[in-house]
Amino acid sequence: MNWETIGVWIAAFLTLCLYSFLYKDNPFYKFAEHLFVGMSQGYWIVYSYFNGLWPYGIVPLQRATVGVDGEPAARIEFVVLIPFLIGLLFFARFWAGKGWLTRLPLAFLFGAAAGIAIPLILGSQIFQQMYATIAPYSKEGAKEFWPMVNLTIVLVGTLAALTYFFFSIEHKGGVGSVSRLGIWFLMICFGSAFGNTVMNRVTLLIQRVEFLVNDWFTPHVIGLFMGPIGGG
Amino acid sequence: MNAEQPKQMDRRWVFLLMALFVILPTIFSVTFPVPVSNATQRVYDKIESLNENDFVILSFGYGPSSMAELQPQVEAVLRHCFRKKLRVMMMSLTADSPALAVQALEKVRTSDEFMDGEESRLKPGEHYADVGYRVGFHLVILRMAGNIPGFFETDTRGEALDALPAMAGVSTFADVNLVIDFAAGDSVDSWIQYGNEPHGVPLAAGVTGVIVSQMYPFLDSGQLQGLLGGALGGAEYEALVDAPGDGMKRVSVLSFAHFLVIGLVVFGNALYMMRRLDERDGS
Repeated sequence: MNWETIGVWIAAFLTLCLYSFLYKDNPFYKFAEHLFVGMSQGYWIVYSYFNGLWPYGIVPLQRATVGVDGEPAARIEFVVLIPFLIGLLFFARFWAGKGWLTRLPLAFLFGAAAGIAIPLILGSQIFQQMYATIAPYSKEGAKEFWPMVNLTIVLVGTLAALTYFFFSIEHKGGVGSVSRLGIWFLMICFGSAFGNTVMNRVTLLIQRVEFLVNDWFTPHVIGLFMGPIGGG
Repeated sequence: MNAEQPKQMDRRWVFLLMALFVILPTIFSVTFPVPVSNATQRVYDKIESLNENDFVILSFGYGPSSMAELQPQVEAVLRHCFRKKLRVMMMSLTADSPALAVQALEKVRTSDEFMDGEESRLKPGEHYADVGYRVGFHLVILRMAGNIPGFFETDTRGEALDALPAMAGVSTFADVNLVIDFAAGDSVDSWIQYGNEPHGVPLAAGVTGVIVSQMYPFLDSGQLQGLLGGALGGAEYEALVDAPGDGMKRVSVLSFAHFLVIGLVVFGNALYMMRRLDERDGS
């Protein structure tokens, strides 16, 4: 039995442990669940250390101060220390009375993220979408019948859904009717999302079943009783 | 036993039925033809429109929990890129993506189509570069915009990027002919916000079924050049490149499962209506 075979048996065992929850909660499911959580955390910590903290934290710090690979630092680059020190302030919460220092890196993060993201989000998610909803009416293609129908459905749906989320006017009369139309569009949207989510979840099941049938049961379980399958 | 209990169904029967509707077609390898949607066709047409040696970035933002849907998409798109003799750079925005990227790459480059005797014709550094994972998510996109080889520095083998033939002449986003982001989360939004919006990077996406609905507005607005959605997107692309694989198999099994789901929705609603009628008769 080679390592690959052992891996297949472990994967099959853990898959069956997890699916056993569908019958009812049991110790096998708990074991697989806890193992998954622990291994995921371990993987993320190690991967983040070697791909984040090490190349972007430790190595630049070494380069800037003592040098790396036997080569001394050309000059002390204090600028490298700034992000490192800001990051260290996150740990201030572990010292009584110094917890407020955590606000400094948080303020920096929020400020930088908002400054970078807000203009780009406005551009990509609001203005471009507004343009795409209205501008096609002025194009040549809009004179064709079916593209025009599509555009109009999108425009009506957008305005109706926005009306539903407009709470400064009571939803009665004409506004109420448009708002109800907005609910219909939202429901169709949720239905589409639900259908696609079903597709997603069932595909995961199919892939696991493929593994259990084709990679584990047929070659290893049947093969155990009838000899290797596939002339191996 | 109260009056409602006869109309309650133990949900484990649903699980059992679903298991049967998935296991039996898997064992008997049932396959159906797959018609191609406009969104998938647009990804194919965009890659078809590129010239030999054009530069394509495949960005990976998904983990093993989404590989059932996205891996067939990646394999079919990679196959198409290599057939068109495009240069490919693979990068990962999430820590659990790199192994899946390598798995898909190895499956394609060692397939009969690209084998020359015992060796693959597709060489690392020459036909493709794998730069692996970089921490930071959207910050990675921001940083690489102005100097792609300068940001990544080396590929996963430790070779300097600017010395690789696969990266020759590639410096900024202006040198990128297409980015295709394979995502189970927010990475498409990040690419739209930080790549497409400020730099005009041509962008397409392959996403899971869960998020495909929220991507369609970006397709209609032209911010996405094409869109592959879930297992169906992978199956459609396999049909387009005439390389049937896991995607087409899964989508056929999926048809059986969807048939069951539709039947259960109708059955559940019928039970609900019967209960409503009973309540009305009883009152």
